[in-house]
Amino acid sequence: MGAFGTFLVLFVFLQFPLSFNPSSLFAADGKVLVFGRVHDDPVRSIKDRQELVDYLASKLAPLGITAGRILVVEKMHLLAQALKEGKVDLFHDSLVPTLVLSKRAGSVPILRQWKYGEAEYAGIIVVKKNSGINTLADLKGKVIAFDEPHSTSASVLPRMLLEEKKLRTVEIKAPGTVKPDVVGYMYGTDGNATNVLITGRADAATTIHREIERLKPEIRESLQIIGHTLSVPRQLMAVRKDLDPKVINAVKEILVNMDKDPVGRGVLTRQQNTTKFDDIPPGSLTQFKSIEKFVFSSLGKEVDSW
Amino acid sequence: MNLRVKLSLKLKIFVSVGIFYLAAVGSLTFLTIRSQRNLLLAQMAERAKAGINLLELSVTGALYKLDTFRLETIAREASALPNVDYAYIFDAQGRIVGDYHEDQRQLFSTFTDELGKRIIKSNETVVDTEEKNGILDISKPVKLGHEKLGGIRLGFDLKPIEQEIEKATYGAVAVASIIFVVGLVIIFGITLRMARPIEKLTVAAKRIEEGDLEYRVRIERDDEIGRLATAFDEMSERLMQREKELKESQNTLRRADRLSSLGLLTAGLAHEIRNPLVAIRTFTQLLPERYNDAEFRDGFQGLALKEVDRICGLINDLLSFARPSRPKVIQENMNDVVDGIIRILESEAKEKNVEITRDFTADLPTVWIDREQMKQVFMNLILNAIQAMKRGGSISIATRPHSKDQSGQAGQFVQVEIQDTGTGIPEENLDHIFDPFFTNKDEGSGLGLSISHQIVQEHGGYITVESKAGVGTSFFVNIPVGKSARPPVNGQVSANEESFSYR
Repeated sequence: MGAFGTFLVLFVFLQFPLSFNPSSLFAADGKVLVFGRVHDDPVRSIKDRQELVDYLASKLAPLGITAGRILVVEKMHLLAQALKEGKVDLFHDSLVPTLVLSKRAGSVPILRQWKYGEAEYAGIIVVKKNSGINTLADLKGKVIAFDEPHSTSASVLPRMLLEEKKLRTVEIKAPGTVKPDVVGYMYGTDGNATNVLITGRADAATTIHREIERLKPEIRESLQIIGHTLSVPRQLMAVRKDLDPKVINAVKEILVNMDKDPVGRGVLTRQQNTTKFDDIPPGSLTQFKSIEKFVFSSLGKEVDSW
Repeated sequence: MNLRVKLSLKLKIFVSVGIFYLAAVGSLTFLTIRSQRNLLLAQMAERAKAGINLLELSVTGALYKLDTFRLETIAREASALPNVDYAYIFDAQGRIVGDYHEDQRQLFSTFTDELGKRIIKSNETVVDTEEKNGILDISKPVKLGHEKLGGIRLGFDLKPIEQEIEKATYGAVAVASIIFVVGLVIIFGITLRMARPIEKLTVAAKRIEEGDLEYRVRIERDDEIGRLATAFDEMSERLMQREKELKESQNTLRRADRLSSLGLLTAGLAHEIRNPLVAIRTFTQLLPERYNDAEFRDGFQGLALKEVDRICGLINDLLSFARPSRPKVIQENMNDVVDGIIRILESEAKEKNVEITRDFTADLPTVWIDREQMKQVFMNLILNAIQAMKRGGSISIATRPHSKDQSGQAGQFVQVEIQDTGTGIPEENLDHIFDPFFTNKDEGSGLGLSISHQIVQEHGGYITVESKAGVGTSFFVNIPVGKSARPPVNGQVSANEESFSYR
């Protein structure tokens, strides 16, 4: 593209500054239930969740809700901003993003979301058999592959586990030798840390049991688990702090009873194999606090870039 | 001016079936080409739909984020789709936010595009084949969830399709032409096979109508035409048999007619024979007494020989008239024929006190006739005339050339007129005198004039009659000069023979 073309593109780009502001994408009359999502693929995010949001909106009609809409943003701070401005009503995500948004925007987790028949799940650290790595301590001087930085099970919890084992971690940006007293780590993208291990670009990888079970048997058999993280809720549903309590209660009631309604059950199944929603066990809050503390104290500024 | 062209059956069948076949092949070819064209356009439309759906997958996320750099890139990447001429991406307000054009035009616009707005308002994919411009235009709105994010419009160049259609058209026309030509050859063959027997039957019918009863179609086919030909041949066979039987009957009748005529001459003939015999007897009685009279002896000898020759001649004439003769058409002088029959009848005429006078034209052209049959004609006519004059009278027999045929057209004939001074024929009977078995006389079969009429007709001639009550009757027998156009039923004239006979 020539200079003129570049100028034109920039010119047009400048015509749409508001278009990139999520607020311009919602209805302003407050009768639309807006569901928030942090993801870099808005198409998949919306297609996967529109049915759930429509179901909720239709059930909330007695409260004046006329429609359901999904706002997808690429960064967590944009969703936090939307929550604070009252332009997103609720969202669901795994534990760590939920805790970060609670901290930044005051959003409140209201329900636990079961998936694949599991209320909770844990992260695991896997290595290749006969790699000479049999314990977490053996990871010193090795490289471990995490998923996305904010991934609860395949990034944050494993790092938390390594810290508990007094293993110091250092991010490596380029291939090279890792010092023998530290554990080098690298980020992958969602769900591909195991691939990094299998293809030999890392010595260990983080994942979950379910992902390991989906591997081909010969690959699965070539791996061994050397560590388990804490078990945490599969996913959480949260609402903005100033959402009308009537709406919050109604949303809770609808979601908790969805698995008892044939239509709702179908929607749940198509909603990434959600089994049901239930209350968050009171005992979990302590666990949440410790994880939140780890995230904001140990990960520090890294969280700002999520 | 009559522009109607007489077409043969063969040509009619060939042209009719050929036109129908041309129409069928033409229609089929047209439908095939149209079907092929529609198929290719439909395939193009399907490819376009697949292309725009593929583009939609790429565009949706970028449109949601309004990532104009990405949108522009996607628009340019759309050029990788086969035959894409242009690609436009519109935002939710209908503004062009990404574009590609084959000729590198830059349409990137911040202004609302009316077409873009229409696309976004639409809820479906719209395919428009702009054949005039050679473009297949396809557009669809881009939706995500319940939100319309914008729209896409792609233009596909139809030239490659048009080229394929053109190729397919040439191919179809070539194949159709070959099929048509081969079909025509087959149709021609079938037409010949169908028409030939019919032509044969037509020729056969004509030949039969012309009297060639021995002509046969002889088509050996096991179908309707074959059966028709067989039936036709069988019919011809039976017709020939009937004709033969008819001829035999006619011959019998004619012979009976002759014998009947001879029977009527008995008295005159007896008188004609008795007179010389009486003279010979008288001389013979006187011969012993006057044997030494040389003059008497010489006179007797001359008279006896003369009278005996006359009797012999008469008897020969009678025998030749009465004897069944083999039909034979030769060139004859009509004066001789008429004179011969007058000689036989003169005694009968004398007996009835009827005078026969001759008024023959010398140098009369010869005619092709069967002498014996023609004699029968004149025997009947003259004998009728004699019988019509109970109290005596005269019969004038004249011969002359005649230059008109029965319809008044020019022709060359020899005419024999037999005119009597009898009572005449009543006018109401004139139209019936040649009918078989029609007679005014107390005696006779009523076949004489009918047979005479038939014989003259068979010689290509005609008879007319003029009669006035109380004055008399004239019969005019007209025989064509030269070969008869229509040979006598009893025989056939051979074109190149000096003389010829009946078969």
